[in-house]
Amino acid sequence: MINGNHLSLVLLSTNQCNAACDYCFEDKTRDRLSLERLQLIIGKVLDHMDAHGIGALTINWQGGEAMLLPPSWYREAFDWISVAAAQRGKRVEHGLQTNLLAYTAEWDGLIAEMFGNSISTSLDYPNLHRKVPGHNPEHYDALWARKLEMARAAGIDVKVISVLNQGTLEIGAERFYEHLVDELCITDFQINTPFPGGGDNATKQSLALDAAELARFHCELADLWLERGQQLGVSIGPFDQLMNYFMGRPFSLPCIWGKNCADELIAIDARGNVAQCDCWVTSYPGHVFGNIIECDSLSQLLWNSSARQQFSERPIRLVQSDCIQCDYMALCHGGCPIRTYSVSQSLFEKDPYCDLYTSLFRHMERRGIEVARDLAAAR
Amino acid sequence: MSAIVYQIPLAQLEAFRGLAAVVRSERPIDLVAELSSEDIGNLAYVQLCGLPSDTDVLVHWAEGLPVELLLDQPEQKFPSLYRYTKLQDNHPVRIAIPVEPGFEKAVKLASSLQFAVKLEIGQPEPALIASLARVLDGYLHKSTVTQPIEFFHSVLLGYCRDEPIDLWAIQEEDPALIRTIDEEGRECLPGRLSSLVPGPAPDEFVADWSTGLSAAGAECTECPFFSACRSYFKWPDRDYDCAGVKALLTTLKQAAEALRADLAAAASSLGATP
Repeated sequence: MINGNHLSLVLLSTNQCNAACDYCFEDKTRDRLSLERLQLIIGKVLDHMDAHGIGALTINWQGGEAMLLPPSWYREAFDWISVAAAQRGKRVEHGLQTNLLAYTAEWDGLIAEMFGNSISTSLDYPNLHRKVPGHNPEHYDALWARKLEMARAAGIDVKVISVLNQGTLEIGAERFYEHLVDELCITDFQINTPFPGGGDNATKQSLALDAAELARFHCELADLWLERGQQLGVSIGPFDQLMNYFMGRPFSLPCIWGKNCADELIAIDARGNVAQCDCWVTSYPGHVFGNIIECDSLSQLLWNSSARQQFSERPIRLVQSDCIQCDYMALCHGGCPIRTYSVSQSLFEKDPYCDLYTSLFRHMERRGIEVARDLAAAR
Repeated sequence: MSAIVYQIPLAQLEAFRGLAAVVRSERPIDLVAELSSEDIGNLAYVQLCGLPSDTDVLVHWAEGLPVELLLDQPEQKFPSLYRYTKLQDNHPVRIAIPVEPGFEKAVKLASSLQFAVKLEIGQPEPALIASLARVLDGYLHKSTVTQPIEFFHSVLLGYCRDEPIDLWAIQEEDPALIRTIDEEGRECLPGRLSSLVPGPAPDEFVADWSTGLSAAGAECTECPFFSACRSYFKWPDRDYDCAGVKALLTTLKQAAEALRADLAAAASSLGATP
């Protein structure tokens, strides 16, 4: 059961998107949340939190494309959620993941108030797959860059998620770092590995990357960050959190390496479907836990879901195979369910990026020891 | 002198209310129903036996109260530790693991899930010493092991700080410190001593046992770890060969000396006293 002190909710305010990225894992529809449906959903989420003594909720708003609903909608949503949560003594924080394409200055006040003047967007470099319908990736990049500039001019902190592709490996870590940090002045970003989630297409069939090349890229980028960025306050996930881990500082690893993501988060889409995360909720009907609009109780929905039970059992099954032999099991726990399933059509295999992860963990552990020694020597 | 702590089954709590205690149960929901806030104030920790399935009720109950989970049959049952991670949101949680074949996997998973561990070590067979040495190496050197593994942890700290070490106390088996109440409410000696009929002076058991062995010329007489061990590893088989456990203790002592030297060097470089 999802209990404890905190619940993380990925909430798709719409299943619709204004982009047409070839590698997207979502099955997009025109569904949008009405405020009435939102209230129903949040009411049941708060009921679940009450039932399990959960005091804090983080809502990560996504889509589709979340900015296809107007700021006025989010303003009403924010106000209603704030009041409803306060009445139950719950704390709520909001995050926004957006492609920025629909961003205008009308969003600025809301972003400041609801999202702490900080949002997250996506950028691949080179961009091979992200497109506006009917246009090429260059068009997307130009539009995105204009919106980024506008948001920054408004004082908004913009974080970036970047999915690696073959082109990224070919240009190398140095060029990638230069583009993001030196040219675009992005100081907080996270690199993600690709996976062929959702419906199949030719692009998804070509997403696989050579594990050794991928590991080399990660390690080289981590070293660049340590040499150039860390001192200047540049943050690159997951290197920053791995460094924290190996240096004994407080850390927060990405969800792909959680002990058991079934205990930590759920996603709800604009139709009310509930699933493990945004990677599953629109695209894998067979893995949906149920529909929160149709159910009486989210707690019961989660408790009775055989689909959710499979996610919950995943690390328990994996640790009985070779994961228990791994030096870094504490960091990974078998890795990400969607990366596994989209490649092997099974939840009960370990993450296909296992070799990358172990190489990266080993590298960051070594670098952590070196940095600690340097710090000690400098005293 | 420390007050004696009583290790009590929940069903016998009524007769022992007000005493410093560890309460054990297989049913978390009964702990919630039957322990008052005053009872909780007297508890060192609660012990969950039999890997219960309904621990959700404990997540927000008596927050801060330590919980110990008994993992019997570690080879078969270790994967189920994943089901107890949420307890850590609001409780320090320790896994008690018997040193028997398969225990190494259990320790590794428990450590990976950031649980503290207590090894129920007894008199480990030679075949298990190699596993214990690997677990000790992980405890000392792996950056992924961040929580204590007892008895290693207390012994290491004792040597490092040059403080007295008492294995019987660390393992919670010194009758001067802890007694077990059985399911019928009878007071027994703790842990591996439970089958003994308590003598007239159970507080003296460890002293009597260790001095008796020394007087009889046992291996303990010449053992460099006698003051820490006081013949702990000679119970119940007084002829047990301690070579393996001595090697573990030697490793711990050397690690403590290295750690102490490092701390002194660090303090010196900062101009402070360690």
